[in-house]
Amino acid sequence: MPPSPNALPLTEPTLLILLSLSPGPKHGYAIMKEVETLSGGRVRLSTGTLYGALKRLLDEDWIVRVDDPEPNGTDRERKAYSLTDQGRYLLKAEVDRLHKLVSVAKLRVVET
Amino acid sequence: MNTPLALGLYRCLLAFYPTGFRTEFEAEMKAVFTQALVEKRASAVCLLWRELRDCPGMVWRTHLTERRERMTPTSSIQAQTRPAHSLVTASSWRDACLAALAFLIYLWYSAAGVILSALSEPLHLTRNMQSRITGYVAGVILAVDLIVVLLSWRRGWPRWSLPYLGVVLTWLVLVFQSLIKNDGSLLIFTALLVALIIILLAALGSWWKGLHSFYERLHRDWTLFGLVYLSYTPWVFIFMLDETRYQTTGTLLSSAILSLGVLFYLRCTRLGWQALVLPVAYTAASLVATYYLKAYGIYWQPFFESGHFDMLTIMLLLAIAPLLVVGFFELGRYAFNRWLQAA
Repeated sequence: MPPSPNALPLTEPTLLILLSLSPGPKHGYAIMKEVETLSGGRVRLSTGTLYGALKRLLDEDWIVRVDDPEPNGTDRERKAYSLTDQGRYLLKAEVDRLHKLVSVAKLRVVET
Repeated sequence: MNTPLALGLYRCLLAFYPTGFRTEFEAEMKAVFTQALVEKRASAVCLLWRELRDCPGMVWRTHLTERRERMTPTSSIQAQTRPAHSLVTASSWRDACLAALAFLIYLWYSAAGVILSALSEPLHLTRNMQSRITGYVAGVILAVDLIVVLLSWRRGWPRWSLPYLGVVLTWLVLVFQSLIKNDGSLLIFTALLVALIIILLAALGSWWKGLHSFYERLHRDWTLFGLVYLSYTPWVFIFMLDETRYQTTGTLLSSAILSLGVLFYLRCTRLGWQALVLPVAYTAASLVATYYLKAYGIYWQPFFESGHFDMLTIMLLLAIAPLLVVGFFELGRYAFNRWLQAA
């Protein structure tokens, strides 16, 4: 079932978390690093914000817990997170929305 | 800042998150924070500051989310069932009768006084109480009371035993008053002292194992405070009707009404009814006692302007005070939950 249109727009941390999960499953620390990289060091998530967002995304069924694809041997129960079909659909919808917005903004900026 | 200190402080911050959230994510969050510290992605102070900055908002949000989840019924059966807190288990008839008997203890005492004293002066009960024989009777009754209280202590304070605790506390307070040369005429002082001791015992029970079951019982059902506390009231009626022609009749009727109230209270299965029964019984008993005062003619001023009215009202308010506090708290919580559902 496609997510409700009310879910959009996403907040910046949520969008970045979903984007970081887009290539494949990641564990919490990897998501944190990826978000920092994607935002050019501008968004640095605290663990509270990260796991608060992850919980919300899990509750909405936009992501799921999976086994860590890169177990490091020390953390016995390290879990990774992966996008669900719903999550992927929502991310695409948000990227399309932003793309349209940027297109319109660019036209306006060129016109002026 | 060294790593163990930073981790210790981080653990303190995690304690603010709701239990469900911690159960699900605490281990992972600690692992991520530790990894960030070990890999020195930022200084420990910087990492902690980041957590501290986001903590209030996230804690608030996670608490709200968890609360909302708890409020959502998970099944149709749960949705149809009455909330558990509104239902209470009724005591057996035997237990209810045992509890009701505690309110008649003063009557046994008075009756013993009447029987044992000279027939020519059977009605001056308070004077009779001071005699040696009635003193022995009082001693026996108090000893029985104490034994009941000690036994009930060992059994985790069953509900029926709580009025006996109230009776013993009343005796102790009266003894204390006699030691400080207060003749007991300051009934409101006694009433406040009894209430205060019950609250202190409950507070003590929150950390002392010996009284923990008493604390637990009161904490689960605050109407029980009234059950302990109101066992003091027959004394008030005895003092009020002291040396009047109607002392025995007035005290008998008032105590009987209170006993009936306790009987109904312990047989009730609904918290709402329970909360209502004791104050109603107390009010009825007070009205009967004051009716006899009026009948005797010692009331030269309107009852509602008299000191007795003030005292009886204050006692009623004291008896239901914890219930009022809990009630207002529950009302606030209900309003908050409604707001939460609407938000």
